[in-house]
Formats: sequence, structure tokens, C-alpha cells
Amino acid sequence: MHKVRLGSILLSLFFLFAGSLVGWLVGEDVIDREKTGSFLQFLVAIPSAILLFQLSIYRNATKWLGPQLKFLGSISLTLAWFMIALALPVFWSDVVGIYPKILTIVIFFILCITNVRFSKESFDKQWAQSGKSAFDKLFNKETTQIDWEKIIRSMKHDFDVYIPGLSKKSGNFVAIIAVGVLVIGHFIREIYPALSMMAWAFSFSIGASWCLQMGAYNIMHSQKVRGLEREYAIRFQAA
Amino acid sequence: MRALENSAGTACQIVHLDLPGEAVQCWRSEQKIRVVLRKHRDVFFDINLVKGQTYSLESQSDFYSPQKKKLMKSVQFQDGERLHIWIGREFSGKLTLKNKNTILGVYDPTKLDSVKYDADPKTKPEPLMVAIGHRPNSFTVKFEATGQYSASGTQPWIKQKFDPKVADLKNFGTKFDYQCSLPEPEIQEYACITEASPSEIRPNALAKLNNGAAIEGTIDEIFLPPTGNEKKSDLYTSIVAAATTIAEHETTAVITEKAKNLFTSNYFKETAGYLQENWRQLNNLKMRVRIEKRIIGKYRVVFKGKLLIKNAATATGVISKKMPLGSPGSAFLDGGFERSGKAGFGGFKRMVLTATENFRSGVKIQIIGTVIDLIGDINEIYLKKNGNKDLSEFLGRAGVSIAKAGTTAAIGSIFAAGIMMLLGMTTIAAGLPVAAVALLVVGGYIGAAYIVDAVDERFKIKDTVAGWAH
Repeated sequence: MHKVRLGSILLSLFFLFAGSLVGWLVGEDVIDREKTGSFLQFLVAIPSAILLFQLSIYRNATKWLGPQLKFLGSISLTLAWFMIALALPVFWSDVVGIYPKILTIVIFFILCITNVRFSKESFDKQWAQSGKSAFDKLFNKETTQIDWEKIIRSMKHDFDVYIPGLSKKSGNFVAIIAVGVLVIGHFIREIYPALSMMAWAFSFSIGASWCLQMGAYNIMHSQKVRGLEREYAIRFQAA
Repeated sequence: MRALENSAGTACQIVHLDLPGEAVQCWRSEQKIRVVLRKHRDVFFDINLVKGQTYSLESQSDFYSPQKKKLMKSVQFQDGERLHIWIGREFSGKLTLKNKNTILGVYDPTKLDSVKYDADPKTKPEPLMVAIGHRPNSFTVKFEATGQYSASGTQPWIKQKFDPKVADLKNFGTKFDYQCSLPEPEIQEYACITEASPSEIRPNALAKLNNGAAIEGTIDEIFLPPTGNEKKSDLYTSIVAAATTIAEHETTAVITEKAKNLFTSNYFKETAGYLQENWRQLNNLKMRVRIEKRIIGKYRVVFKGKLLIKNAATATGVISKKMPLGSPGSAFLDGGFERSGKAGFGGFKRMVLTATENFRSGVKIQIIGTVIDLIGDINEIYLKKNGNKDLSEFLGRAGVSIAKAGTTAAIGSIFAAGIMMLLGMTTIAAGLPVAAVALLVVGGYIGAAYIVDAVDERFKIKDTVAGWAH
């Protein structure tokens, strides 16, 4: 398991604001000048909020297991933001009508919510199946250290692309299509910037929701650690 | 132990019993007594070591035998016989399993399931099972008219073989799923056996068989199509059944829909003439036939068929390809360095190494972009009405386009390397779908392309170079 270091937070900082920078550059082509102010505020507010959250748990994450898992989970927010930022200008652009915007937002939120839920259900099932017994084997009351990575490994979780209503294979197939759409969007960006952003919104909705699925899974682990710490009146050290 | 409660409202004592047959113990008073039997814990012993052996189960505390309907401290059972006992939720003893004088195991239910159950009589403690050895399967494959070769009948059997608890504990209030911890076996190929008469086999195939050689090929290569006049044939019935079974398993890829619809249609299954009409369509299935020897007037035929879903997955390449980060499979995205790294290379150095490896992928992606840029340059110089048709300016612009592509690939590689680092942090010990990771990495290249374009626009590099060249 990755140790949380200063480098982790710097890398996250770089990607959060690289995402904002690229989002801004993309937006220059499609956003009217009078709307750039609110767009810029958004581009600064969201990554700042993510960064503040990471900073707030950074110290504890270097020492304790629960916050460490939470911090690693929050990294997926960085990745999700990096992707979302590229498609974000479409919502400030007048080139795209209100209905496609609403549809995109609805699809995005549905994907995010279902992916987080999927993560929780997978975690609960895998914990009951193998995680709990792995913990029982590894837990020693005499020490505050535990090899949590072994427990995660025992749970054998794979982060599949989850799209509600589709099978695992179909979900992966849609992800392949999304990559194709992304590349096509990249090459038509100068001719049809709004269209390419819509293409990215489709692809990045899938990508970002997948990232949130990963983040949620880490948060589930973090919560489980907290519950166990309360149960055994102990605090596990960071791995 | 009995729980004793005093219900003021009804002015009666409530006494809890954990097992049938236990004595009621209560305070002596004039109040009425209400005896409530709380739910017990089921415990199973399933020993399959040596046939004919007798085992005994002993305990210092009472347990209840539902078979003998009494409280006991010792019970005997045979190898292969599943012993079922009940114990109370506050059972404090240990269960000792013996074979003659040899102790096979000592089991403490409070340690096997350390949950402290509440006093509610409806709460059912988790059942326990001690299974030693392997129980021989009494399963026989059932062939039914609707699915002679179906795998659906065999999968529960396979699962049960791996984990006998699945079948039993779910009937005794377990809250666990007890799914098989091994991955569900993926059936990649079906095989079924039938017989064919010489009149159903093509003459050239028959000649080879008569020379003692085994033959293998597609259905059309080996068998004659049905004429519609022959009597009911086991061979053609089997061909239909095998083709239907192979086709009807869930498939999600579009390319198989046509074949699936044909072979799973009721026409195909029920109409004799349909097989005759669509005989050649069988070649769309990857179904092979092998005939080895003659058995009293007929030939033994083996059909082997690959599932359509497997073929579809192969056709679409990476549909479900997964790889752990840092593995050779992920090298095209993370250079294979992310998790393990090379000795002595951590942090920034590892990222540089990954970026260097990614650069190749980035260049590949950018090649298409460069071609598009070059077409734009041709348009600007040669095709536009006011284009100056100057070769030097075109070469200058083209040179900048290529340099931009290279720069984009380089910056994109750094983004991609960073993304892989971040992914490595958030995904521990997990295989990741290639397509999802590619989404992130391509996003990195797009970001790089915008940055390079912005620099070019800001400093008018292309126009300046074109001006110099002109």
C-alpha cells in the first residue's frame, strides 16, 4: 500500500490544477467572454476543495491506517476532476442547447451514484466472504500494526467499468467505444469544438464514475478500519 | 443458561430455554411462568475420510440431537453420514470429535463464531459446519428434452463440489452468502457424443473412416445435409440441440446476434426442414466434429463447440482484458514500472522512466493528429485560393506540426506517467480494465495537445517559422 508522503499531495495538486488549466484552454474556444468569470471560479473552487480535504487529512494519513485509506481514496477525486475539467466548458457554452446539457448531467450523476453503490455492495459482499476471515487471521491484539494490503488482496476486488443495466463485458465494451469517441473528439476539436466536448463528456462520465467507484471502495475500507478500531479500542498504524 | 425476566404488565415470569428438553428454572413465586424456546444454533459434522469408520462427538455441555430428539453429551455417527446437532446460543463447552481414542478436532463454537447474540428468542445464531474430506458426488448429469447439453445443470454441481456449505447452510439461517471463493468456472467448450449411421456421412469421410483413420472437421464437411425424407435421426436431433446450446448462452456482442437468433429460434429447434435450409449456417458456429471408430453398425461422433461469447470476446480483442499495474500486460500504459519499479528507482525517477516508455504510445497517438495537421498545412499553402504555393513555407509549417506532435507526445507521456502513479495509489492489488485506464491516459494526451496548441497560438510559432521559411 502506498505510503502517504508530501510527493503524493504535490502530485495531486499538479493534476488538480493541470485539469483546471486544460479546462480553461478548452473553454477559451467555446465560452463567451462574459461567462468566463463564473467558469474560472468553478475551475478554482472544485480543485481547491479537493485539495483542502486532502490537506486536512494529510497529517493523520501519514500516521494512521484509516485516514491513509481515506487519503488514497481521495486521489480518485483528483483523477475524476482531471477528466471532468476537459468536458466542463460545454456547460458554460451557448453552442450546446440546454437539453443536451441536462441529459449529460443526469447521465453523469446516475453513473456516479450507481458506481458508488456498486462499490459498497461489492465491498460488503467481499468482506463477508473473505475480508473478515483475513482480518481475523492477521489481527494481533498485541500490536497496532496490521498488513491491510493483504486483507485487500484477499478480497480480490477488480474495478470493472460499471454501467447500470449492462453486464461486465458490455460495460468494458462501452468503455472501449468511449476511448474511440475520446480520440475522435480529440481530432475534431478544432473543427467542431462543441461536438468534441460532448464526445468527451460521454467518455469522461464513464471514466470519472469509474474513478469514484475506486475512491468509494477505499472509503469503505477506511470506514471498516474505523469500525474495527472502535470495536477493539485500538488505533491501527498507517501501513 | 436461562434468562429470567419479569414482565410487570402481565405479572408473569418469562423463562428462556435454548434447547428442547432443558429443565425450567425460575424463582419460586405466585406469578405465572411463561417458557419461551429461543432459536438454537445448528452444527453439522460432515466427515468423509475412511468409509466404514465410526466417529464420536463429545461435549461436557448438553447438545440436542434432532434425530434422537433428546439432550446428549455424546453421540456416534458414521463416515459419510452428516451429523446434525443443536446447541444453545450460550453453549459454553467444546465439541470434541474422536475416532476411537484419537481426537480429530476440538471445536469451540464461541470462538468459531464470536458474535454475542442478544436475548431475543427470534435471533438465530449462525450455523456452523465442520467438513473434513471429500464427499463423493451423487450427482448424475441429467439430460432433458429442453437442454440435453446445457451447462446450467452442471454449474451448481461444480459449485457444490467446491463448497458443500452452499447447499446446506442457507437452509439454517446463515447470513453469509457462502459463495464459492474460487472464480466461477468458465466453460469454454462443450462436448457431446452421439451416433451416426454410414448413410449420414459424406462418402469421402466414410472412405477415410473405413481405412481406419479418425476424421475431424466441420459438420458440413463430414455429414450429408438432411434430405427431409429420412426417419427420425439421432444425429440431426443432436446437431440441432448442440448448436442451440452453444448459441443460446448469453452473448452481448452485436456480431453474434444474427447467429444467435437463428440457432435459438423455435423454428430451428422444432421444424425439421429448417435445419435442411440452414445447413450451411452451421459453419458460423465454431463447432467441430470428430469421429473415431465404428461401433456395431454406427459411428461414434463427438461434437465440440466453443461458446459464441468466447468467440465474440476474441473478436473484439480487449473487451475484458485486465491487468495489474506494473505488470507486463500494462507496460504499454505504464511502462511496467508503476508498482514494482526498477531497483533503486522510486518516485520521480520512476515517473521519468514511465514517461519515457509512454512516449512511444504518445507518438503513435499523435501520428494521426500529425497527419491531420499536415493536411491542414497543405490546405493553407496549396488548396486555398490565396495560398502562396510556396514549398519552403509548407516545409516550415509541416516541421512545426511534427515538432508539435512530438512535444504533445512528450508532455502527454508525463501526464500519463503521473496518472499511472495516481492510479497506483488508489487501486491496491487490483486488476484494472485496460479500456478504463486508456480513458485516463488518452485524457492526458488531450490535455497535452491543448497546452501545446495554446503555446503555439500565444507565441505564433507556426506562423513565425512559416514566415522565416517563406
